[in-house]
Amino acid sequence: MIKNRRSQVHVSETILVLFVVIVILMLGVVVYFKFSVEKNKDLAEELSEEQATIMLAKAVGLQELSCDGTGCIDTAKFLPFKRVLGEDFDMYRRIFGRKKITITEIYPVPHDSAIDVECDVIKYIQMEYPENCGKWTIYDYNPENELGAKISTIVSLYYPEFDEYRVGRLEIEHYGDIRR
Amino acid sequence: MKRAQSEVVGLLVIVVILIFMGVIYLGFANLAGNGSLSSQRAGMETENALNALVRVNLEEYDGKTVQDLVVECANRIDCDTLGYALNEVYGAILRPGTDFSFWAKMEEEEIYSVGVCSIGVVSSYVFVRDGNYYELRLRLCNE
Amino acid sequence: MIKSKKGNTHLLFKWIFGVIAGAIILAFFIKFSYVHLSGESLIEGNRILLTVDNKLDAFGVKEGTDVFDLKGEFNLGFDCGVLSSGTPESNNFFERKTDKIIFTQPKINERYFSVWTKKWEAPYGVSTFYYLKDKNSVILFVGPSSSSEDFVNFVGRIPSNMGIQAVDTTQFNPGDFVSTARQSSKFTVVYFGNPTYDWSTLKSQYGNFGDLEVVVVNLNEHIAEVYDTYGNKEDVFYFGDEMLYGLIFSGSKFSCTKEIAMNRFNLLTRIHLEKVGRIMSKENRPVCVDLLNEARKMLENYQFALTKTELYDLLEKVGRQNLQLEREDCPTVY
Repeated sequence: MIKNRRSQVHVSETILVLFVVIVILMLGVVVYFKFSVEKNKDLAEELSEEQATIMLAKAVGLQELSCDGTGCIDTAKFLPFKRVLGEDFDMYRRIFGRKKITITEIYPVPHDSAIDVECDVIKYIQMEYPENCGKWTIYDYNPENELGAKISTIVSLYYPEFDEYRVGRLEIEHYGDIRR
Repeated sequence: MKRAQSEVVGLLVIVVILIFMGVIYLGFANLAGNGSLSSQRAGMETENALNALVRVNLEEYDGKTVQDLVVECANRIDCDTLGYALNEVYGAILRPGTDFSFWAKMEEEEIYSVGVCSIGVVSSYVFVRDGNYYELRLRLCNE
Repeated sequence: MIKSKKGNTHLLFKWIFGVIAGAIILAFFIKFSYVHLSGESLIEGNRILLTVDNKLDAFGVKEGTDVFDLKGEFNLGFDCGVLSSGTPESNNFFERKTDKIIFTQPKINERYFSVWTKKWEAPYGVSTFYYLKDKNSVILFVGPSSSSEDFVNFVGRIPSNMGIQAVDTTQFNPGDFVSTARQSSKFTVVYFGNPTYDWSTLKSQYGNFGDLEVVVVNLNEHIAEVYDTYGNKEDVFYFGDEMLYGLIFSGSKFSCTKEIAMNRFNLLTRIHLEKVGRIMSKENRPVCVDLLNEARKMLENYQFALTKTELYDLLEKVGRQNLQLEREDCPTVY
């Protein structure tokens, strides 16, 4: 039975104000958390790019791949490195993280039949090597099939079998964040 | 009831203003970008491009290197070959649309120069041949 | 005093209601702030480790020396391939594995610390060694500076910002360094040759102030004795001057880091071994094939060498073989 309308209205008013305030608070918290998450995602991407940039500089000097102290990359080490990588993958996963590292020969310009052809043991032992292929995938770890961003740089490639220098492009595709 | 209504409206106005200010703040907070990584990579690209150039065995020129062609140019044998070789190599290895400037000096005297860009990181490489001191410089033009 | 006939119970209810609602809202905000601060602290703690790791990476591209500024004191720990920040007992303790071979004291608590990098070659490039030291750690060389060129050259190669002090063996008096030891957290005495004062004597002089370690190096035999803070002795050998520098900067923590370095050496040897095998298959000239085959056999032995004698012996042989390959204009091992 409605005995005191004024007080009831007053109570309803209070409840309504509280409800509105709580809704606005919740909205504010949700917006803040979204902003926070976005900020952290940006930070993760920035750190991933920073790591990939450092890796680009480091890769040319990596003893597993480089000519000793002369600023070039030794192509004769690629296949041995891939084998060692298979045996010690965890260690290299800690070094490289979630990345794909490829080296592509760009000068002399490869024949059409060799563009994007992966150089493996079979291609290596053929007489036509290195004209029969033009690309080495040194490392590839992307367990969650994420989309990546690519950065690259020019490198000098040395073929000790023929005592010859060519030019390649070292490309690193890094995926999203810096988890290992 | 009019007083209560005006109080609620007042409260609403304050809340709306606060939300508006928050949105503006978020907008500005996201603006700051990071260009330093890309400029570091640009510097790396220039240095590596020159480093690769000086070593590469030029297929069309009997396996000679750019250093050999620079020495030939310095000895006034032939500078055109150097120009063709530079264009051929950099045409293949640089990203499409990237221009370059290249200078060669022997004992501080400029012996060869190509390209006109003035903005970009410069990388240099020195070598000695037959007792002469050579310096090569490369600039990749900023887009 | 309540005089009004209307009654004020409604005020009481309002107060109760306000206090409860306010308390709930306050509790929510406190929890929110706590979660947010914990998250930020987690990011910050891991970020400093990532920053240090990345800075060392970038610095290690070439050999050199520098002083790093962390812009704060972070209680960094270095233990056998693991970087850490904070203390294990606290909530701000974070760890990160690193691939870098770092020879340093167990803890760096200062904002600034010196870094020196050197490429370790045996005889091909194996890794970059990082030597870290802050000013609280004191390293004192006691050696024959007036009579041994090897000693003088060895010390001369250390950059001045690494803050190494040296004194001639004949002039060394432990009492002269008591005030230095008092101000340091770790005091390492490195003897080159026979020690004039043993660990116990030095401990009685310096032991109350901080950690004391003593290293006795035999440059001719490539061996050393390491005495840790408790006087426990460990006999070690080092493979190359770069590793000896590592022994000096890491003291009793040397063995673990050395093992990481030797694993890496083994890995690089495997790569060179397989590289030589592949090049041989492409080589037509008999003299080159023979030389490469000899090199391959040496590398096979090198891969499994464990003792100091075997390692140094094969180091020399592989180096000579590579020179021979170069003279004959054949593809080289490195």
